[in-house]
Amino acid sequence: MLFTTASYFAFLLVVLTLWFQTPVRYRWVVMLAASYFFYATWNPGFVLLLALTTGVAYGTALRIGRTPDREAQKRWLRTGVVLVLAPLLFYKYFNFFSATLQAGLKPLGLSGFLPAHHYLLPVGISFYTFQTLSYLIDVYRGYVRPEKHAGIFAVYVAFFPQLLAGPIERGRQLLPQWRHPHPAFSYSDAVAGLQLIIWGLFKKIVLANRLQEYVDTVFDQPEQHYGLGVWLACFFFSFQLFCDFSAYSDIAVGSARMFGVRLSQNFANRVYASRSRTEFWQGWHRTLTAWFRDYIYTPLSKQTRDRRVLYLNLLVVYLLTGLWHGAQWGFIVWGLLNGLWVLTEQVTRPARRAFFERLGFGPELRLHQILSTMLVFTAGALMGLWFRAATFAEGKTLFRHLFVADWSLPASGSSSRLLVIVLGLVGMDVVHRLMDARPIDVLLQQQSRWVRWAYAVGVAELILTLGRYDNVRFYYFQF
Amino acid sequence: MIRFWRNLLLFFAVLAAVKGLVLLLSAGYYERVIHDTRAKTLLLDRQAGRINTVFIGSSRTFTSIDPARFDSLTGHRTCSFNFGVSSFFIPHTFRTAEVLMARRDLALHYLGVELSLPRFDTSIDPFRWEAWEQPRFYLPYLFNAPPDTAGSHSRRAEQYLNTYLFTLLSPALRLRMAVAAHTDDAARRQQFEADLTGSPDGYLPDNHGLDAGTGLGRDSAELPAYHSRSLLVYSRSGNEAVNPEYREEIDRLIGLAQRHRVRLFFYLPNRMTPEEARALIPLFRSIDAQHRLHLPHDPRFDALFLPRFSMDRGHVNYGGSQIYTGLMAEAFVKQMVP
Repeated sequence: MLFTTASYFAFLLVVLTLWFQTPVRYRWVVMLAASYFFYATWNPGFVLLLALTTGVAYGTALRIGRTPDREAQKRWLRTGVVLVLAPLLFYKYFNFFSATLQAGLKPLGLSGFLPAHHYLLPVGISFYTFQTLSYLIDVYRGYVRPEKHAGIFAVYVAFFPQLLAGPIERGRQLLPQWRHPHPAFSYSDAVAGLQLIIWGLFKKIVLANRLQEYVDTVFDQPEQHYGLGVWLACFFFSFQLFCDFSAYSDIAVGSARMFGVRLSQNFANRVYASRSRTEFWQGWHRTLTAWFRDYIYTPLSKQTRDRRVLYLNLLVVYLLTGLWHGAQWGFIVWGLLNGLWVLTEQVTRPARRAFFERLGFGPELRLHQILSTMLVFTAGALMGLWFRAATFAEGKTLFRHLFVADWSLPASGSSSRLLVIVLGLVGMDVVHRLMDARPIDVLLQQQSRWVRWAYAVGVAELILTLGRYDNVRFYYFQF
Repeated sequence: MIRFWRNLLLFFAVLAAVKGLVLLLSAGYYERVIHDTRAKTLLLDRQAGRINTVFIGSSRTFTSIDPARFDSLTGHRTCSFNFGVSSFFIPHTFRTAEVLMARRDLALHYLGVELSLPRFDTSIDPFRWEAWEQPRFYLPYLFNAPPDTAGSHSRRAEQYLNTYLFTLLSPALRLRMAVAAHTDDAARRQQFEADLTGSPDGYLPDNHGLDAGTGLGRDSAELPAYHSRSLLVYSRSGNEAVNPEYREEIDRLIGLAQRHRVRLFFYLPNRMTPEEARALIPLFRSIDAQHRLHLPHDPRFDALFLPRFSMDRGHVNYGGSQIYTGLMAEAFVKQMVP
């Protein structure tokens, strides 16, 4: 069941009604049943895996909480982490590592062992695994007490709006909301939720799906496209990814809000206009970035003040971020390129600042900011090429084709199609500028009733009129 | 919560009202061209009394059966018309067959109907009258789906619900048509209408109207798979499940044809998706020999799947259509003409 479908909307309204008609102490039953049903619509078999992961994390966290001995706690944590990570490693990384290992050992005459499996990757596994890991580590660190109510913990792991693609929520943020849900229906929360959902649908159905039509044409036939066509595909892919993923987050946050549950804002509104990659990563997929910061970078770096080690740790984090998306060389290259760029930014920042100020072209100047944004966006788009290319070889082909002087565009880049895309993106940016750092529901709260209605009807009409319904899957579901 | 539900209903009412207004304002513009099945019917009407053979099917029929060549190969014992329309599948095709058979002004002797699966992932024009009838066939069809295809059918059901609801509400298609129909550029307008109806005998000899993108590209790698799927029809049959609802519809149509004294036959599309091959080949085999057109398997059939005879992975090009029409005519003369 996809967020962009009528059936999801019907499902959401049914669960909402049931939720608020059920006594508070039994609401977790409604939410758990709804979430497992939602997940089962994707693949019923994987519900078992979700339940197993939940059970392992629940039991391990209780064990950690009950054991006073720090060493014993650490042993339980390690056991829990290994058990929770095992399905993810098997489904997502086994084939890559076995293929890489076999390729490496082939010269020694060793091959044929560790045959590849052909199982489907359970949808959402990276997200709920990371959420569960953060809970286990937080329990070990004492940031959150172990949840004793198995049902409430299961809802924390499986809450349907965020189950498939995040936001990756921490226990201390979400568990209290499940323990003490809003007792009464809140009209303003429900309306705010719908406003977020409509905005998300616009970004996905109108913008991301239209951008995808063009991007797919180029990336699916890399050998046939050159020059401007490939450059445009790279730029469009950056926007597509933002519109797609932030739309998912908006719909997830909006759906949760209707139940009175507050989820994290996963994206800065104008993250695509960042003036540095460092700023970009502060506003992009925030909950994943924070996860890597808190559970990888900080533990790796707290024992050292050596800058070289810190830089190496930074690179490790970006490498893992790439690898989190999938076991492919393209993701690894993308992660490393991002790491190197951020590292270079940090290392050269004082020198760059001094250099530009000597030229009278300091970072506070508007033109400097505009050029920085353009440079950073272009760099991000070129890194994105490796992210989107189906294989590393196709990435290389497209990268070579970037530098061929060819001004033609594929059929999916006709002027009328491009016009809708460009106008849509400009419209989105205008709204984002109005929103500033606020979510759209907060902006709308400050407007009159007429403006709120005009927004809802106007955006819904745009979705129905300009929407593309063929490319319904969200991009991040594959991770 | 009552206030929320009340305002939600009000929201949908306002949304529908605005849509209705846009429809009213634009209705006059697209009337002439939007009904692609009607446009095709009008084309047929102009030749009523002359045409005695009609082929009904999707874009695969539209682009691959050349009536002029077909008639010359049957020694002009037929005067045929291509009623292929883009995204035209069962139950629409069957309903159209029913309507054409019942028409007394047509001198219809032979009626070929392409077997297809109901598809809802492409835009359904809400002003195709058949769109409103879909649930009548589709729901029992879904209910009767063999267990191995149940999963894909439930996804289809969701796509169907989505597409159906959104298209019924959306004026986008009509606005696009309105703009195209009202253009001052006569050549463009003619081109646009030709996209819907093809040449006077209904055949679409090239790819206009079917967005072929930048050519075959990666599609060519998929042609062998299309080929091997199509070859399954020549292999020995096993214990294959057929959808009883679909089978019933076929029998009903055969009964109607007998009543109207029309020689009805079914044929497989020349390019099949995996799902189509799984469902349609057993169905095709279950039809008695006098009501199915079984193409001979020879090198010409294999050539149909070569890139040089393909427009894209799902359609043959002009060269492919000439081969395919030849095969169809040969089978037709052998199996249908007394």
